[in-house]
Amino acid sequence: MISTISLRVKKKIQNTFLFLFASLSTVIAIIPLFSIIFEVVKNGIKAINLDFFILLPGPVGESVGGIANAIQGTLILVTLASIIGIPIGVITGIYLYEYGREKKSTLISFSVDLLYDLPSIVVGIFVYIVVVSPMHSFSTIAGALALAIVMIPIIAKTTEESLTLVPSTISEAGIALGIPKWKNIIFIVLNSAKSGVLNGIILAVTRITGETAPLIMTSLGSTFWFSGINKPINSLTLLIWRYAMQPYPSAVEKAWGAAFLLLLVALALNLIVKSGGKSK
Amino acid sequence: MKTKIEIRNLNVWFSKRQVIYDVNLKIPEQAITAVIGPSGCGKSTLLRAINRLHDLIPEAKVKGEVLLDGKDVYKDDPLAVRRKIGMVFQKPVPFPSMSIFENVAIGVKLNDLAKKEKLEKIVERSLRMAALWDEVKDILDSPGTSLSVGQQQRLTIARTLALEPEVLLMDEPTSALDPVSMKKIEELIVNLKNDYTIVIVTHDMRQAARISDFTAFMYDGKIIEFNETSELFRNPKEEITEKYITGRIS
Repeated sequence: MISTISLRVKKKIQNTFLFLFASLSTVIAIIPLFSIIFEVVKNGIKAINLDFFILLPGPVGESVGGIANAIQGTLILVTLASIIGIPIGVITGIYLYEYGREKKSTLISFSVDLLYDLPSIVVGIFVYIVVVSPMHSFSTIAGALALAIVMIPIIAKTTEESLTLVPSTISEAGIALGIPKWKNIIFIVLNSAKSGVLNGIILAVTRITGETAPLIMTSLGSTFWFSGINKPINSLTLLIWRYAMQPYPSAVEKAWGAAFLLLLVALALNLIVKSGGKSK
Repeated sequence: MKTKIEIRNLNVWFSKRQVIYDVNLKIPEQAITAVIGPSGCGKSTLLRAINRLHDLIPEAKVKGEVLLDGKDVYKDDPLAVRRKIGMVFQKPVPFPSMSIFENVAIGVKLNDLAKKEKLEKIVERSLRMAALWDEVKDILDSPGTSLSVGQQQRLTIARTLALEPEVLLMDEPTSALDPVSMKKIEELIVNLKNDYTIVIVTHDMRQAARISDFTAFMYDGKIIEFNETSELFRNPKEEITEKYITGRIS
């Protein structure tokens, strides 16, 4: 009797200890996140005004001007990268789903995994060598290409996973209707997995919106508006990277403002994914 | 009665394991033929051999002939075969993210069998035949998955009928349903036999007795006995058939 009670007490102490430890770890883990959000909002919100959205950057060191060309640049880069990256990513995902288990495609599935884990600066160097160097110029298209390469493995993997989650009975029901194999994959199986595939695409867009490293050696950055896909282009991340290193408070403030903007975009895209996941 | 499907010396293997042994069977036209037998005896495998669903499984090997109106389906285009020989599965699987209308229309659409203007008529006709029209005519745009399970099964039947098949294969179509839905589907199947040749796999012997005209009893991958349903249940010729229908083996 006594031993049962003491055992119970011991268990209770263990439980309490574990609970406290887990809670503490969680708090430690989220402190940096919240302090980042706090700092970004506190410093960034000061920079936000109408000029910030519609004007080109002013002369360095002066507080006039905005970051309109960086906003434009990020929109153009992400759009171009998506046009290249989304179809290739989805089709690769379909290939992995359909043939991924066969021996001949081990190389492809391994390559996608490798690309997924590749540091994005390496992607930047690669695009520098194959696009920027031969063209003798940093360019919008090089930046978009680098971002597309970052996107492809993310979309391919989420597409493959979403397709694998579709019950085989659905694919079979389509086949039993005499539907040709490729039409069945696209219009029946992919269609059934579309919310998962869409989430993967949004995640990939979020990720490349925040990428800096692949752009440093490809699209370079610019103080002007977009002037052609063979010319350098600015982006929010490049602007943050450059301005944050400036000794002028006005530049640093603009960098905080751009960071605030990126944070909002990331938050919005994440909310879309979350709500999409729930409505499924 | 005219034979619609003749199965000749059919053998099926999965990898090295043989599942169907030398099956010979003549399935009569515009009648309901039930295939009964204990779980794992090869009923579903036999059914899937008829519309070439085993083609999808690399490990499956099929040997023998399945003649539809005298023509071997294994020498025909598999897609055409599956359109002529429709299949209804055990669990109703409406395509998610498609409306009721799209669920019925999709087979016709993806096979390029009809123009858009005709689709509406085809969908209505198919839903009427599947005894679902009155329940869904005002909600055709709702998702197929919003229907009850029994309605979903009638929806998948409508989806199959939209392709105007000649034969309907049904793989335990009521085993996932409640008794009321089961009764509705059984009535529907009986009505459909005026236009279609129906083969139904079931392990509910009472169901076979209620609705089928002919019954094949399968055991261990072989057809043990095939006869008119009333005859098979009243005077089983083989001892093992008798044991099964009297519940001594299951």
